[in-house]
Amino acid sequence: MTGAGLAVAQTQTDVHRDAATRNVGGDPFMTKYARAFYCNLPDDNNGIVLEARGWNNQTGTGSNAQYRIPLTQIFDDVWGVGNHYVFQYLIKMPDGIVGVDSSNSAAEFSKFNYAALQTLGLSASYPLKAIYLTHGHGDHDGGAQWALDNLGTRSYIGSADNTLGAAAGKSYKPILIDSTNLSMRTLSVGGKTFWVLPTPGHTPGSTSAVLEVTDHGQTRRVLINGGQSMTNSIPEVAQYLDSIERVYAMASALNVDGVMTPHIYWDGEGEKLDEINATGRTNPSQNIYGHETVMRMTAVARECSAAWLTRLDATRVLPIWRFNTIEFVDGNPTPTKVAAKVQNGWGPLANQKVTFSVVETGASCSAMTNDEGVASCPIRPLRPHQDNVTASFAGAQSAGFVDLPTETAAMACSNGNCK
Amino acid sequence: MRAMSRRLQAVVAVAAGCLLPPSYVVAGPVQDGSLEYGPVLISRIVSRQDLQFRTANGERAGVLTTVLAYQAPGAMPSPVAVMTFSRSGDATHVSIHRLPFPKSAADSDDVNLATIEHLYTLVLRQDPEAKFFYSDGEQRFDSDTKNSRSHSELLRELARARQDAVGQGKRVSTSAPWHVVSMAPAGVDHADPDKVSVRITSDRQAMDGVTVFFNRAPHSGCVAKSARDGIAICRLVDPEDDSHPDEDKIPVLATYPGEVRADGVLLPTTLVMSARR
Repeated sequence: MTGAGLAVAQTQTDVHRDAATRNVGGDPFMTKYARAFYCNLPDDNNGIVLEARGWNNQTGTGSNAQYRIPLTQIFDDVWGVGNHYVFQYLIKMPDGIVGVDSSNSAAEFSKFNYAALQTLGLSASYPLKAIYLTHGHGDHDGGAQWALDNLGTRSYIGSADNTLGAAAGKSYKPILIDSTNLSMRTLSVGGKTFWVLPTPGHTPGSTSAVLEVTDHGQTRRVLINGGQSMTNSIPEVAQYLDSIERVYAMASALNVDGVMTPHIYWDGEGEKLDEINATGRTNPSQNIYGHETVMRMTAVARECSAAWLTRLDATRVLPIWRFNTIEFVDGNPTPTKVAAKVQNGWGPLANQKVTFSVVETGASCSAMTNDEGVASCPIRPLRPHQDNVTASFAGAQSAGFVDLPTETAAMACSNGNCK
Repeated sequence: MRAMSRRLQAVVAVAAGCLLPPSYVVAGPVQDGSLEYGPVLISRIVSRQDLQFRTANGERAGVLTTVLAYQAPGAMPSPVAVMTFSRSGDATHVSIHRLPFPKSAADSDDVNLATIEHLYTLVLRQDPEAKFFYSDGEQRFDSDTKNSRSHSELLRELARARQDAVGQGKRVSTSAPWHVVSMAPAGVDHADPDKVSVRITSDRQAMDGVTVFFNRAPHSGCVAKSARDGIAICRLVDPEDDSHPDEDKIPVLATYPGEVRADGVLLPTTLVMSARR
């Protein structure tokens, strides 16, 4: 029996907090950032968010000026500027620039973001074409009016946030993304394709998005998670939970492996940006966290929001999301051994179906995992050094758990020879 | 997926047509469509978790609908309640219509009880600032907004209905008693609009040491434990520290999260405290 099973007196909130920890998979960076910040409310640790708020320097002067972050290149075509509390991204296109969020205020935008845009070549023929606003809070849309007035740049925002803090509608007259349509769709923002997903919860009109960027010549997909902190309202947190589950589905379907989060302290991007500025951008970029890490973080966020919702409504019971991994046993598959192990933060996953398949030949086989989480079956034919074997677990759901799907792939080897 | 039954079509049409303001009335009968039933929210206040309930969400002509259905073993889901959602000016209207359940059905008393319990769970999740309309069985909808109920009023009404169901049911399984929890504003500090408080009671007794969550849109909140006199008090904090115009005119929500004990259920509830003028 697992520790969670023994602790019968645990509240639903504690069970989900524990699940968030288990889904981290022992990653100290994720523990320090995503686990801590997404779970700040159920952990009774809101002080870390309030402390981060103190990093929101908008002037470049004063005691917290150290928290400003200069214009920093993150990918081949993406730069960013801001502070350690909230950050704005600038995407260079062939014919202009597209922004993500607009800083806290006109003063901040005119001093820092405008200077950054000029450095990137802003001109009449190379304009700031559009700004995508993740939501309608002032620390994200504070510079939108200045951008409209001085650069003629229109902003995009979820329609439900158009009246957020502005009963008559936002003065900068944004182009509205329909918040009532919760489906993922593509949207051209200044000619840049965004996969957008309305994700109400943080605000009614929050949206999240996936973008393609170029990193050292390679196309990568990055996640913009559009709103982080939760409220004390049951309906809003229920929406937040639903939204983060849909973000997981989007990031999984689009095979996202990088991040561009506005509140960079939330997932540790602030530390990565400091590293870029201190020692340079790595290959891949520091903002490429890897697909598994991005998905783990999202599963952690889901469990943290489940923990908070069950604190606000202590009668609610929510299934636990378990993040699973699968790996071939003893390295690559061979003609005499095709076996893979499925496990998660609770241990091996038993009695679940694993499918092995070879795209090149169409050959496949399926087997159930044993108590050690290992499934094994023969694939005929299997050609060493030619066939790529994919092992996949399609996911499972029971009353208590949602076991998330996972897959891995490796080249078939000769027995005892993988060279 | 299953086709929307004629019974359900009629109910949705009646619910939408009787309740909603003219601009939202569904014109003509609801056509055949399909509903995809999913698992119902799981709540520990539901006495019999073995009874299968499902929900489905749909939309027609701008009217959002949630259907609560009971699914007997080997049978298709049978709707037991319909919720419709609409807007009227700045207000959200939520109407809930309970459908008569065949008394001849096996476990009908338990299904009736569970229906009310599931409705409590569903209503708890709705916007507490909405106006609620409720009708039971053959009752006609009363769409007059002055007869609408508040969120907490409807929750109390459902708790009473559940008590009646327990008393009337001949074959009702053993179920834990429900205790309604009430909150009331406990004074206003005009000098500090961020200071919020409620007095929380159950069975007319002050509740000591329970947690109350306060929320003010867009994102201010605080958490307080009640003292011996039932007063829970704290000061709203805005973690994003961006001021909003007329913040002190925005209602404050106070939420008691509920508690399931061996001897009964203290019901979760939310109080909307009107804005200060």
